[in-house]
Amino acid sequence: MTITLESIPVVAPARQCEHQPAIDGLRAALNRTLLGKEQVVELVLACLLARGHILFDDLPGLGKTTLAKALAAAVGGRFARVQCTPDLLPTDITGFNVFNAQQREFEFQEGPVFSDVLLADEINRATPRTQSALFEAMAERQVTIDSRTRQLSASFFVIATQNPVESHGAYPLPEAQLDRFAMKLRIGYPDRLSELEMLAAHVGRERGRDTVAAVVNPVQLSRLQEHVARVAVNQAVREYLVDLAAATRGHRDIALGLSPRGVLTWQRVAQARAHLQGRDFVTPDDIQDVALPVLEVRLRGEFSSAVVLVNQILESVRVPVL
Amino acid sequence: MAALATLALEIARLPEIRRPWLGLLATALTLAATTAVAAWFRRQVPANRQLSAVAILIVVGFVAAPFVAESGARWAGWGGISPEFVQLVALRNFMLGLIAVAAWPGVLPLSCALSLFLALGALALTTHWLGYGVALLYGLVGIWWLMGSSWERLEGRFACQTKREIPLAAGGGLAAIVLLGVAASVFAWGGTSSTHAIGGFFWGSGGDRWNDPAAARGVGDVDALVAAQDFAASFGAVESELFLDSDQPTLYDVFNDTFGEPLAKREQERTIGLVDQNTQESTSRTATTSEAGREFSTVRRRTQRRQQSLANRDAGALFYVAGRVPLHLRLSTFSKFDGRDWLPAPPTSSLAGRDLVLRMDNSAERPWLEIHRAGQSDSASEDELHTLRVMNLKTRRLPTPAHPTGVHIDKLDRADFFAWTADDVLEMPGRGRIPPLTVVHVRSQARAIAPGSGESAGGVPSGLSPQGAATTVEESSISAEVRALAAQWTAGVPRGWPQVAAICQRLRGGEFVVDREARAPTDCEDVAAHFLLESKRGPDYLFATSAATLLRALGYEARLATGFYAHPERFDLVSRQTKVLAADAHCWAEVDTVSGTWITVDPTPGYEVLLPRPTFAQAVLGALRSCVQAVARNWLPIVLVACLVVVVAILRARILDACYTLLWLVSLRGSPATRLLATVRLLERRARLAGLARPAHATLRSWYLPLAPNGGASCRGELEEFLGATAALLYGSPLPHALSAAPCRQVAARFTLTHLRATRQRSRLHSPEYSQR
Repeated sequence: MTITLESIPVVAPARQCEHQPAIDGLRAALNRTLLGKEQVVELVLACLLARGHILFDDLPGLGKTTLAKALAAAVGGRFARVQCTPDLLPTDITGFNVFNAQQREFEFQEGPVFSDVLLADEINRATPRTQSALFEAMAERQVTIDSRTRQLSASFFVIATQNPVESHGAYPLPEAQLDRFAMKLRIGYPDRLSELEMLAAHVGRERGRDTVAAVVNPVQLSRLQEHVARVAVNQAVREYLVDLAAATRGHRDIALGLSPRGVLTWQRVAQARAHLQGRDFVTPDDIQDVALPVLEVRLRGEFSSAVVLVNQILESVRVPVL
Repeated sequence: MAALATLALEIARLPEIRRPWLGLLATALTLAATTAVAAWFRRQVPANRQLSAVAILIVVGFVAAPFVAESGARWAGWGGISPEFVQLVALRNFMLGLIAVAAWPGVLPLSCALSLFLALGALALTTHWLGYGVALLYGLVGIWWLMGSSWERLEGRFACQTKREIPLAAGGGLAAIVLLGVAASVFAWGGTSSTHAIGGFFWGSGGDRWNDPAAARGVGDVDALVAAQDFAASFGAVESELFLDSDQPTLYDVFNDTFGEPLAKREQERTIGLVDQNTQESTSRTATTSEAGREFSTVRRRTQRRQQSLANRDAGALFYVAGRVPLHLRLSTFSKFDGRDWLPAPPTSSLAGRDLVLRMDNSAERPWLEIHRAGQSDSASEDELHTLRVMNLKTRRLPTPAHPTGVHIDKLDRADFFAWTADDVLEMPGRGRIPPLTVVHVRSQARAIAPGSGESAGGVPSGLSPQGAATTVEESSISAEVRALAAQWTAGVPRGWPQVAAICQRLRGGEFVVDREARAPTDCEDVAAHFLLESKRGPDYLFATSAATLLRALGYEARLATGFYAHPERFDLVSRQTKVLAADAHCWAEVDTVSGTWITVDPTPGYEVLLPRPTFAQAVLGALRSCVQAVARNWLPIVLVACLVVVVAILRARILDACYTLLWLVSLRGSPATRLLATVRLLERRARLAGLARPAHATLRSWYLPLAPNGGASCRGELEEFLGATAALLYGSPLPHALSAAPCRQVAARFTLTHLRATRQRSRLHSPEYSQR
């Protein structure tokens, strides 16, 4: 048994809840934008419902930005985009105080973090100083500028992309930053049929006009996220999760095992995954389904394949059944 | 490392236990139990963290098992093994028990440490080169393991600078240890109480004045050779020491002590008026004989055993035999029998030194007395070597097997130190006794007839000497009844060795009982007839006498031989020698062959004759023959059991499946939760039987959903519903709705053993990746 992105089942929810139309709308909007990538969409939705940030790590032109923009549009909030470059300053992201000569006082000019969805494109091109400007925003949904703390949107959500091929002029994200992302996803090339469908859909369409309508608003999204956080996690499943975390810490190829923050994130994503499957309780299947993207972003060590490594970890722990 | 330590223990232990196969079986069972318990425990640990009590119980059970087994074996009369091996086996089980609960963190290093002690214990007890080799290998593996487990720490802890200071803690600890050692030494040497306490540590070996019958070594090992306090020869029987004298009883006393003193018949005449009886025999006086081996009476009286004090241990050995046993060691022979008494062959008999040449061969490193006689095989490969360590044998005759070909005693390099007696025994003339602690090396040829079949073995001449050729036979001493009995027992049996074997087999067959206390009536004139036809019980000399008489009645030359029987039960596994006690004095019969060699024939039940060492082919053939005979004797039950085993083996999965299904049907009457869990168990068991056991890391959904039969969407839907309900039961809140038994029945009906087997077969054929799951 090998857990890969493609092996994650996409099952229509069996139970209906009051938020199901919103979830279905989000799912449909994203699937229309990114054809043939249902598994990726499911994980993106799980990440969104789990209040996690997401890091796309893939080649150029595979739809990272398109998906991020579509997601931002679908959740109906403010969308901001930062194109990260080496000369990008922290204040370019967080904002800064500007002296208003007319009123003779400093007034705060909000940066892109004061949005509902922030797309940090090619985040590994920013300097570590600029990258660290996102630490507080991602972890606590607030920024502190000139000794004053300002709250961000309750549904603040970072979608970052990075290009794994070009290493020249790139600054790898530090572990502390990576641990603040809920998951790392690779979109990958679409299959033949999806690619043909994509070509057909773009014939005659004006470039830049394929907008996505808002499905939910930030308040609804926040309520949905609170609902997902109440999905039950059984004692046996929690122990399973802790055993898996311990397995990452004891694995010979892993230098940096899963942190407690990572375990919490894993549980939240599994809760979202369970809700997306129409359940109000988490099963070991949910834990396993989201294991690869959750672990890949935060495990560091000497291993060549994250898929093999994650499968080794999963295979080393017994699933609680009877 | 545990495996190597266990192997080292087996190598040390197996040669010293009486039933090595039983020991191997016990070890195999222990290893199997370790594997099973480890597998079970590994499954339990992730699910249940509160297993410390279970782990302790498992380890205690492993440690207690050898003691329980040893007590059981002794209670059942199977004998025991030496206590130090019981302790080592308990230590091994402790180690294996820790391995069985290795899923519990932190016990494996302790198990490794125990394996070191086990290997050291085995090394101390082993005498086999293989044991030393395994211990060496253990050392190498241990060093490798230590390096491997400590490498990271070694790598990261190279000191960049040093600082010299007095290690106060270590120094203080060392001083305390030295002080404790000194105090313990003073305490030990200052009085007897502490030494007694130390002796108690070697429990069962005599250190605390209690010795275990199975003890093989230890402080109380006084039985091994000699008693140190009472006997000057406490250094043991070694060839470099001086001959010493002893006041122990003579050989003649040994026979009298064992069988009672012979009765001398005294005729007494008296005259009584008017009564026509005038003669009456009396047996009131006992005869005394000053020389051993002059005669052997078969009419004796019972004697009261001398009471031994409670402090006495087993009687001391007369001598020890190193070499193959059982062994008949001849000290005298008797050829003339008058119905009551056996007398040796007269010196003028043709037996004395018949075709015998004694020659000293000094050409080799050691001087050997070469004994050549007619009929002797020249093949050196047939020679048996025995070493006799004489302790207290007050006779000048050398106890030898029936066919000695050479004798070596250290420093005796002249043939006239030895002589051949008239009754066919080697002796040391001019000497009152064989000096104590003499070590006698005897080379001989093992010749015997195979029991039961009558086939001669070891170069036994096929022809038997006709009666009257060598011995003096009293024709009148054999009654007509005995002759008739001999003819009856051998009716239809070809003449020669088969008839001899038939006689022996009949005497050993259970009709006649060995009773060392039974005696012939004092007025009995034909002891053999009385034994064979009336009493049918008696000591070994009556068996031997009867056999010789029957054989003579059939026309064969037969005689009585007395001496000692080196009993295999007295073989000491540690010293590799057999103790011969006074109680081992024994009588048997010998049959003459045409070539003049006398073949040992022992008709007494419980006594075996040393057969020539079989070649490998003979041993294999013998084993095969025994198997075939056993099968032929019990062919019906064997065939039935074999058929049953084959059927069960073929249909084992079906049988188990039927049992599991029956259990599942019973549990369907329970609550929805019970039904669901029972169905999951049934599914898991069927998958295991079909070779598709769910791996421990796979979830129910991820494993069983791909195995669903191709029954369309409804089939998959049923399984989805079932798995969803199961997941809700296992991981969610209480069941969302009252689940009927229908989904469980449908799943059980679709996931049959046949379907799962077919799925596995298909996955093997089409998808090697799937089969790896």
